[in-house]
Amino acid sequence: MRVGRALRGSVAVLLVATALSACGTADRGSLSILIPWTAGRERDDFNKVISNFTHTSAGRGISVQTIRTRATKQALEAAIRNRRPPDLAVVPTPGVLRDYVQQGKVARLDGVLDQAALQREYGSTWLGFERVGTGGLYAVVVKANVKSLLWYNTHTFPHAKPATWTDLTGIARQLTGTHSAPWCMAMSDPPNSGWPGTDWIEDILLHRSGPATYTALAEGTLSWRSQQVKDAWRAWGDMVAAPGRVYGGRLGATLAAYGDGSDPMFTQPPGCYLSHGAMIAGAAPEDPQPRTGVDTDFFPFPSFGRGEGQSYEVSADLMAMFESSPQARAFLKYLTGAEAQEVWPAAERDQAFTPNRTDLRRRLAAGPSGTVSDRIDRILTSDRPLCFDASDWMPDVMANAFYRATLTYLSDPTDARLDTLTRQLDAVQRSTRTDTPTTAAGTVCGPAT
Amino acid sequence: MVVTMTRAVPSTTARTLRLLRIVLAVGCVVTGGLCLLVFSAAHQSVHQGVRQSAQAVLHAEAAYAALVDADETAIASIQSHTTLLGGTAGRYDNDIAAVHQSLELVAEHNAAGDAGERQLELVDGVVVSYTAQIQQANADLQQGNENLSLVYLRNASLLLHQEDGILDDLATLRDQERQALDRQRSSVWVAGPTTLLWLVPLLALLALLTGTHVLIRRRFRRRLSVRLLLAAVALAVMGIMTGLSAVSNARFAAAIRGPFRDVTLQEAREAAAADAKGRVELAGLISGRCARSCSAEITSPDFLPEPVRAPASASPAVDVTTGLARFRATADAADATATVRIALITSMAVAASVLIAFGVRPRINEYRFEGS
Repeated sequence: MRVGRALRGSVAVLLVATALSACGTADRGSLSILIPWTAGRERDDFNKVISNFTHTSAGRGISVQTIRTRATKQALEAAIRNRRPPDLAVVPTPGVLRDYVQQGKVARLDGVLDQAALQREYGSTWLGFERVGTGGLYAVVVKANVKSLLWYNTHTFPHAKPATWTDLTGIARQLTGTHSAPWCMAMSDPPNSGWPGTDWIEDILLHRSGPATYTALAEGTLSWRSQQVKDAWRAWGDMVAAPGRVYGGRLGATLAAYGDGSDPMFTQPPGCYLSHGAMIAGAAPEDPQPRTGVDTDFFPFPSFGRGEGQSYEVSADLMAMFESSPQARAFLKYLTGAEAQEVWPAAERDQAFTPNRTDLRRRLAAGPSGTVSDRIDRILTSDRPLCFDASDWMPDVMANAFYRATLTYLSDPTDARLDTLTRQLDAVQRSTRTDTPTTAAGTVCGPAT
Repeated sequence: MVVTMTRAVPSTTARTLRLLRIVLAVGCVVTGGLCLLVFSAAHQSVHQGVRQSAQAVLHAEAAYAALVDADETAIASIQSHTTLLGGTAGRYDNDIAAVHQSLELVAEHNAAGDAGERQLELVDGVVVSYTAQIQQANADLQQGNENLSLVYLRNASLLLHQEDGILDDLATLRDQERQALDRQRSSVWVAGPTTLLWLVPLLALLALLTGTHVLIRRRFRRRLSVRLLLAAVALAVMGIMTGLSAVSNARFAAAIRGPFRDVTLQEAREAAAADAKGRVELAGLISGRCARSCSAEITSPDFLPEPVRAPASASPAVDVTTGLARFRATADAADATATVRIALITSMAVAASVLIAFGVRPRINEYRFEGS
């Protein structure tokens, strides 16, 4: 009897101790996340997302370790080779993620996340992006960017906003030969230097030939030597080839760091007037930052006057799960929610955006209309087609060849060079075609709503 | 006639001897265990320090220096249009091979646990990215695309030097290993007064043993108890063996303060010199090709972030190979084989215990029939 009582007492003590430890800030395991944001605001913003997560009931007690490198692809490759992948990783591109899907290295998220809620919050197009051209859900959006924008300094740009490509080339011609160059351009962003050039080619192709042609190139079914693609290259070449078109010359543009690319726009006198891309890259931290919407503004990439409606190239940082764990699943669930999605746009107003509809509606209802962020938010909720960055969508080998081709073409924008380059790109495309897993057609472009 | 029957009063000496025998015998075993623990733990710390952490730091430092030298070599070879890259001279190839070999050795000696392994994976991956850029620069140069060659060369250098770039990653890895080394150096078994705690019970035991000997001499008029004397000798040997760990600890500290520091300092100095040279060469190369149009931010040697800097020190330059040999010698002395000493400590503790038990026993036996 005594032994029985003692045993029951011990069990009771054990249960109470267990319950107490569960109620407290018990260690609920760790979570490793590979991220490309190594410094500055982006790193701080992601840290804020993590901090918010660890203050939720799902994330309390989880120890989050971030592994930071700009060379996420190489770091991820090494970690997977050593069979020690991070639990979660911001994948460099959907093309790279598709390779991992094919190798069975990445976890499918269909059973992890509420599909109906995702459909409601993100819509078919963004859900399609998160499927990265496969049959399953493999990623979630961390933040999004609209790329088809041309930025200018509101105090110095001497022209009306061009509506067509012809207008734009006219402005570029007029500005050439003055003390400044029309274009601020910077291609250096190792190890992926050249990608800003691919955005140019893609935007020209999208606006000149439409989303269907764009999709065909992104999915590898359109030859690089096709007339549409070569015309896109030539249009870019015509825009930048003439002396004085690019600040620092074409060699200067290939050497200039992407992050500093827009700085000459704010010097006195301005070094250049226009910049293409998702955002005005920040000036050096110690300099006074140009105020977006006050000192800088944008206009959409101009049309080619063929009656096509406006389309927009977009990109996103996608997070995938390489090691399934309760901690990783909890973080992904949190990341898709409106609370996590609003962190970036709130912290980096006019620089980072979310496709989350709850957040977009809230921001559009609350913020003043006509601002830069308001207009970009409206693009993300319009009925215009959004097309994912084609080079990001391509298989990694193809994308790398595309990056390099833009650097080569910028160094020597001649037809002879273009013939050689497109022939080489076609060869790479053929070699990757067999490696490319089945692509769910129509996921590269889709309406925002 | 009256016969008075009196009961003999039991002697307290017998009880005292029995108690002393138990305390001394058990004390020998316990103190032996403590000595064994102190010695093994100290030896383990020294062993891990010199064979793991220090090696990992040295190899991480070597990888760092080799990578900076590889970058300078690549810049110099492209500047002079020589065929150092992949050619017979092969200095760049040698440097890159040294980087990979050093990283493998860091992995082999990693003392920074999971964080160290992850950092190594990161460095492994980004070094591949760096070499790919250099190879592309070399290929472009050979095909006559000098401007493109310059672009890839500069990209490679940026990958190396930029904030959170490869050199930062390597420095983080080196610092993680150094922290592990510092933990081992400041371990309670290696540094501070705790390393001598074993001495307290040993001295107490020897004092008690001496007291026992005095008691036996007084009560039993025996000048010398050989077994107790041998037990004292065994305890002394045990103490000396344990005390040798202090010598190892001192040698360990000397190895880190001396040749280890000299070698890491020299590697850092060589890396800083190569870095400074490479910066100027690369800036000269860019200026030569792009002087008129490129902005000052592109042509200035300061386009790369913070230069590599060696820690400030007035120590004279040393030869790395000689310094490494000195470190190995000191480390070997600090980390001498422990098996014999461990066996000696164990056997001395057991011997002392047995000798005491059997040394006191005959005296206790003299009281066996006293009370009957």
